[in-house]
Amino acid sequence: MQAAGDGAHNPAALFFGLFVVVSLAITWIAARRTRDTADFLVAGGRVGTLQNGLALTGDFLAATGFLGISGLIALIGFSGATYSIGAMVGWPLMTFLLAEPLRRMGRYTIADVLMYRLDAPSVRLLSAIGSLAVLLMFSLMSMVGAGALVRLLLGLSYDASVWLVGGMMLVYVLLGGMIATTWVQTIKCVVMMGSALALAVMVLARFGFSPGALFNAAAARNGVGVLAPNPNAIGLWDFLSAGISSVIGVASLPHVLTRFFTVPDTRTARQSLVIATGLIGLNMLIIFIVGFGGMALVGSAAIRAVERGGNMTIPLLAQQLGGPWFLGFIAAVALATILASFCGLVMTGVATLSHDLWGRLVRGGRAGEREQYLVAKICTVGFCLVGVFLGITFQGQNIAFLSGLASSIAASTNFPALVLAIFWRRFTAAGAVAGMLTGLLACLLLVWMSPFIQMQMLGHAGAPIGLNTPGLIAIPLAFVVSIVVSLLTARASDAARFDAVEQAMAGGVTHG
Amino acid sequence: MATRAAMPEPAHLARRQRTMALRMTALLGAMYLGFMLLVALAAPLLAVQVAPGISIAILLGAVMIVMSWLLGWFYVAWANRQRDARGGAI
Repeated sequence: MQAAGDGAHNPAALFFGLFVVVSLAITWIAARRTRDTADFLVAGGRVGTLQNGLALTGDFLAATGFLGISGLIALIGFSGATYSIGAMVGWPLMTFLLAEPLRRMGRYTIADVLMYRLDAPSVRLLSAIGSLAVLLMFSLMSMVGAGALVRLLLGLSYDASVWLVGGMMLVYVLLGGMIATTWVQTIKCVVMMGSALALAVMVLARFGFSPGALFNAAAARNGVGVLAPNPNAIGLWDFLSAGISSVIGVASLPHVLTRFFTVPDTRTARQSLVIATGLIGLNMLIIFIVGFGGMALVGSAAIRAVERGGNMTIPLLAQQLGGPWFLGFIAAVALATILASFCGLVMTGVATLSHDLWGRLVRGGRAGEREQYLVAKICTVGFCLVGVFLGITFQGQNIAFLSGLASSIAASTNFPALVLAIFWRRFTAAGAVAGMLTGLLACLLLVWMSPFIQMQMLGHAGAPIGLNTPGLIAIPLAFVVSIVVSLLTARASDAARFDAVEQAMAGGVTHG
Repeated sequence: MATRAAMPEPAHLARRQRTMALRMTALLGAMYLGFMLLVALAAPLLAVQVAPGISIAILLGAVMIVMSWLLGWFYVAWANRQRDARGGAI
C-alpha cells in the first residue's frame, strides 16, 4: 500500500484530481440550471429513468458496498455476503410498497408524504428528527471513512483530509444542488461498477474464467468452511434481527427515498427501480467474485495485516493484479464514492432542515421562494460544517455499531409510518407520532443495552439483551404501538384523508 | 387492452394495486425468511457442493439476488400494464 502515498508521483492523486475537475465542471453547468428551490432540492423533478436508476444505485452503493462487503467476504467467505443479500431484498420491497406512493404524495421529503395523509405538525417534526438522526449517523461514518482514506491516499493529516472532503462537498452542493449531486452520483456509479467489473474479470482470468476454480482456491487457503454459512458465528435471533434490519432499513433510507421526488412521474419511479435493482444485484455478484479473489490471491492474513476490517481488500487486489496505476485508479474511485455519497446525504439533510423544519414548522408554509432558497443554502453550509465537526470528533473511535443503529432507526421510524399511512385506513396522527417515537427510543435503548456497547466498549461482563441489532424488536414494536394508539384515537377525518390517498394512488392528483 | 368494458373507478384501482403490492411483499418475505432460516439452521446442507467449488450456499445466494430482481421487475411490468390499460381515463 506504500505505493499510494508518495506525493507528486501518486497515481491516486492524479485520478482523484481528474474526478474533481470533471465533477466541478458538472457543478458549474448544474449551477446555471439551478434557479429555484425545487431545482435545488429535487433537481426540478426532471431526472429521467436511466439516470435515476444509476443515481439510486450510487446512493445505495456507498463505500460499504464497495470496500466493506468485499473485505468481509475476503476475510470470512460466504457469511460476509449474507447481509448484503438482505439489502438486495430491500429493493423489491421498496418497489412494491413505497416508490409510487412517495412520488404521488410527496414533494421534497418523507414528511410531506406522511403529512398528505395525516395533517399534524408533530408528525412532520418527528419524521424530520428521525431522518436527521439517520443522516447524521451516515454522515459521521462517511466522514470518518473519508478522513482515513484521504490520509492514506494523499498523505494529508486526518483533520486536513476531513476539511478537504467537507469543503469540496460544500462547493458541489451549494452551487449545483440536487442536479450536480445526481450527476456526481451517476458518474461515480458508472466508474465504480466499471472498475469492480474489471477487477472481477482480472480475478476470474487467473482461474480460467471458472468461478468454481476460484472458490476452490479460496477454500484451499482458508478451509472449505468459507463456502458455507458459519453456524456458530452469531446467535439465531441476532442473525434474524440483522437480516430484517438490513431489508427494511434499505427500503427506508431517507437519502435513497429522496430520489423518488426527483423524477417526473410514477412510471419513471418504477422503471428506474428495475434498473437500480438490476445494477445492485449485478454489483453484488461482482463483489462476491472480487471478495473471494481477495481471499484466494492476496490472502486473509495479508489483508488483515493492512487493516483489520478488510476494507483494503480491493486496493490490495488491484495493486497485485494491475500494478500501481490500477491501484491509483481504484483508490480514486473509492474516494469519489465517499464524496458522492456524502453529497446525497447533505442534500436530503438540507431538504429536511430547510423545508420541513424551517419552511413548514417554523414559518408555517408562509416563507416565500427567495427565503426558502436562501435558507436551503444556509442549511447546506451548516450541514457540511456539522459533518466536518463529527468527522474530526469521532476520529479513530469504534463506530461499528452505528451502521446497524442508523438502518434500524430508519426501519423503525420511517417504514411503519409510511406503510401504515399508505395502506391502512384507520391510521391516525397520534398513532404515527407514538409509533415513530417508540421506534426511535427503542433503537437507542436497545443499542445501549447491546453486547457490543456493554461488553466490547464499556468492558462489562454481560449485557441485558443478546441482540446487537435492535430491528427485530424495534420494528414490530413501532408497528404495534402505531396501530394500538391509532385505534384508540380514531377520528372520521383521518379515514376521509385516506380516500384522498386512494384518489392520488389511482392517478387523480400528483403532489409537486 | 381497449376491450375492457367499464373503466374501473379510482378506489377500485387503488385497491387492486394495494392487494398486488401486499401479495408480492408476502411472497418476498417468505422467500427471504426461508433463506435466512436455511442459512441459520442448515449449514451442513448448504456446504454440499453441487459442482467443484460451487456450494449450495453460493448457488442459493445468487438465486436470491436474481429472484429479488425478477420479483421487482414482475411487479413493475404488471403495474405498467395496469396503467396502460386504463389509458388516459383520468
